[in-house]
Amino acid sequence: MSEPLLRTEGMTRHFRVGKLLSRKMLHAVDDVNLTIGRGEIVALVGESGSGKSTIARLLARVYKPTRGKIYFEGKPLSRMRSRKRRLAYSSDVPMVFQDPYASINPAYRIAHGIRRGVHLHRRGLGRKERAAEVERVLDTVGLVPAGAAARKFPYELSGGQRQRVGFAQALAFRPKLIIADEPVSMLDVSIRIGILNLMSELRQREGVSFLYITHDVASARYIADRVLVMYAGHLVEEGPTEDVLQRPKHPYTQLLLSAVPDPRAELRVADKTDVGEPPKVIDPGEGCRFRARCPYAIARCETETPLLRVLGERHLAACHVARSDFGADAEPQHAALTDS
Amino acid sequence: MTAITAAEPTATPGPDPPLAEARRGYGADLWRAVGRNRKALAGVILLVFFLVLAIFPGQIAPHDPQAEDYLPGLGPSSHHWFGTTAYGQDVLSQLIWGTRQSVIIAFGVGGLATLLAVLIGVSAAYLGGLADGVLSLLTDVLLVIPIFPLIIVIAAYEKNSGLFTLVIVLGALGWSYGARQLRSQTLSLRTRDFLESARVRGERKLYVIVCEILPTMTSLIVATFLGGALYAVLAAAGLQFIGLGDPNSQSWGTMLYWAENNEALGANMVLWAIMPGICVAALGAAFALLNYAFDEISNPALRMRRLDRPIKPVRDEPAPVVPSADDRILEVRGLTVAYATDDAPVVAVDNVDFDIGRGEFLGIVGESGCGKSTLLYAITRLLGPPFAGQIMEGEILFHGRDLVSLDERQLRHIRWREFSVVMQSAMNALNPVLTIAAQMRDACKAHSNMSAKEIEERSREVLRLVSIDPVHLHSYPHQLSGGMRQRAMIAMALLFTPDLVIMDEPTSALDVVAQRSLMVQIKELQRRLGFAVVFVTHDMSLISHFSDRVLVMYAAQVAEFGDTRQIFEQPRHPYTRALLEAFPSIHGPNVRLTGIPGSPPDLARPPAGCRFSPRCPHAMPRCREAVPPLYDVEGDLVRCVLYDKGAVPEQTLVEAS
Repeated sequence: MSEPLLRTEGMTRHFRVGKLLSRKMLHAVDDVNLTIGRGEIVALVGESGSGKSTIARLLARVYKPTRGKIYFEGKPLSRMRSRKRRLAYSSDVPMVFQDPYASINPAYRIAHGIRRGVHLHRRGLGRKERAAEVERVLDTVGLVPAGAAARKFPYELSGGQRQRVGFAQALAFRPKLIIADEPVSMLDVSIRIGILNLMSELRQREGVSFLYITHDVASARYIADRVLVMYAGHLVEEGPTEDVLQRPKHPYTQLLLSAVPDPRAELRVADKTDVGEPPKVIDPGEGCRFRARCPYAIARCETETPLLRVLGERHLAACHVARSDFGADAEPQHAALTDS
Repeated sequence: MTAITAAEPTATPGPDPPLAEARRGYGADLWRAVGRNRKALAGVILLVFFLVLAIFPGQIAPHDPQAEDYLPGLGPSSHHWFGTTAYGQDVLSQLIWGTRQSVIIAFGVGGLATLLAVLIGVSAAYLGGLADGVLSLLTDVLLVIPIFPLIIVIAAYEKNSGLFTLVIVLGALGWSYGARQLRSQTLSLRTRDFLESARVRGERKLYVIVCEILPTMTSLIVATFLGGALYAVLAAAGLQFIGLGDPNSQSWGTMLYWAENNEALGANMVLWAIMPGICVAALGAAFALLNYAFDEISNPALRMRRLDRPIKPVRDEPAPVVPSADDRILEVRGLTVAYATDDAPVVAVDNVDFDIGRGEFLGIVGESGCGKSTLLYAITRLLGPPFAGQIMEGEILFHGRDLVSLDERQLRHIRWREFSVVMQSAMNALNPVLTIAAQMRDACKAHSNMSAKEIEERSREVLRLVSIDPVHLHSYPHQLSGGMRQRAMIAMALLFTPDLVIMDEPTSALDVVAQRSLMVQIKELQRRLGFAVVFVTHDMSLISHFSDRVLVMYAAQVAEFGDTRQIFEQPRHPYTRALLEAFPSIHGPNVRLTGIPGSPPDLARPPAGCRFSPRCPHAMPRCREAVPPLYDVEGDLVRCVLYDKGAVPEQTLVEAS
């Protein structure tokens, strides 16, 4: 297989928490191996505190990994030291933020962020070309007429329009991969779909890859080719979207899917005991981090952290009891855990 | 400035002007605001007056201020408006010439102090670590030292020194307060996404500080400047008065100094002292007024406006109880709520009717800015400051009493005991420095006279109700998870077993798993305790399995109101339909969705006729003519002309979709 656009190897990020001399470590991201292909939309799904946003910031180089490596087009990020190489990377991998009300500087017109991006990353452009570029990207994200939009202040735009500005800023870099950190979660239900459609269109027209970070499984299904499920800093399941959603392997993914509100489905209140309490991520130690909430936990889950295993066609899960699609499997299994 | 306020999404409906509309100039906005604000206008007029005096004293003053040409100690006359000094100089001319020094000091010190404050405050906050430690320590030391005595000591050492020294001394000692404010403002900005966005873009540190942070703090920087100028005018006059300035200089302080030396009061020449005093006060007032005005302009919440039509007069005796026909516990009749703005009043709730029965679960659904939160605040009579909303019309009958006519004291008896509220974000609604127990105690004490022991017992009981271990009674809010905090809020709402619990998006900050568990729990509690629920949400799918009836709001009006199952199975209003089809499902085929084109209207300029018509796929010319009434379709109320039996057969819609 050819080299993917972006690949991580054992990417880990810990944060020291507590007082000055505290030795406590928050394991935000532990040992994550992920790949993003060219022109692919990958959804990263998980609850708040599972480490999704930390991954976004590791990939955007806001944080440095505690351990592990990130390769972009086969080259490790840790070797990009000079300002020029770093700038080149930030233009290849821009980020779109969650809160459209906080992610645009309120003191400037809409054109500001786009113009700065062009100025920093595409030095060769003249004044006129820059202005044309501002209009082009605003037009691409559906802010029309682009000339008028460029002259507005953020407070004159609605949340959905502001989020489009976020994508326009990213596009001005001529990016290869856009990291979108919960871009629709603060928007109204009625305009979310517009932003999701925009992402698919950008992939189609500009060939951009996306890492779409969300806690909304349904929206991940709508646009993503592949889904990665995070739990407490671990990647617990990954695979083609429909596969993961129709045949979830990991008990957490199953819980997550059963909790999605869906007026078109019958209400199932099977496991009332799970109140959605977050797991312990400060010095978690060995063992599966989901075991306390898991209905299928066995003794081995206490002592050994499960690793991702291939359980189906391009479908992996980190669970000691999950059953493989390929029938005979040496791993111990639990009869109750069936594909649903 | 306007830009600062825009950074904070407020509770008022978010306007959504179409992009093509011409924009008012940024500067023009500011001037308009200044013209409207009386304090600003007074401040500007005063300041301009003094500036003119300071710039053209030679042309304005009738005499040479130093010339001792006249009889000493003359009273006011047409020749010498304010008389002459003990040395025979013209007082008016001295006042006019003295303006120049005060203005120079004000602007010089204001400017210098602001520069230092910005440099020190912003870099301390942005750099953090050791730099922050050292700079903050310096700032704090300057803040706690009594400044005025220190200035006196330094000025005495540099006695008879000139204007320049005075500006330097006052400026060097006057920046600490501003630096402190700028530092905390920068700290709060530091984690804002637009700065992170600039960093991810690859901007350098200096660029981020100068070009991204500073422009967003314009109002604070201006306030620092005005505060510094005010302080400088007063301090300089004080120093010169006690003789620490150059006694031969032309200034108001020096005039005061000579007035004192020549025993103005003994000599019955009060004008010698009063006139420079008035000038100092007036220039100081100019800066103070501008400072206040700037605060008000940049922070609309401080500008309380009243609408002409007041709410119903408050009666002295309790409102007469109108016995309800059946078991309705809340009946809202023709409720209209408006916000005062600079332009026309914005009607955020327009003639809304609904009712709720004992033990019923009513869902109110709508997009942000549709008026659902305003409706909820109106029902609970919590529309006071900072929400400048007012109930213009209508009744809110709770157990037959009209809440609109009750005063705050009467409301307190009912609020929390008979109905309670659960807010959107528990982290904001709970006090972060008090334990859960303390907050429960406060609630109990405010609304009852339970003993400490009873309160403790009741608190444990309600926590157990929402399945939180009572050991958490002594936890602080931040020690609980989001889901637990939200359940603790519900526990507090249940302290007095109310008949009605009003919930404003209580689950929107939670993950799907915690959200589902909370919904199940609310339903379970409701079944056991029999209270009614009004549940406000923007996510229609959330309530599909829990509510008995649904009220869909669009642009301040009821769009559809009916039985939950009926609405989900057969949504009638095109908006309800569009809402239900606007989000993807995890089941069934993955079809491409279009959402709802456009965005909700600006409530200050609602579209004519049906408010949904600009976004509606079924819109026809008739829709733009008048706001359609609510049509009763098999018990389901729908505001859409498609259901006007007289005109269009219902079949049309079914075929159209």
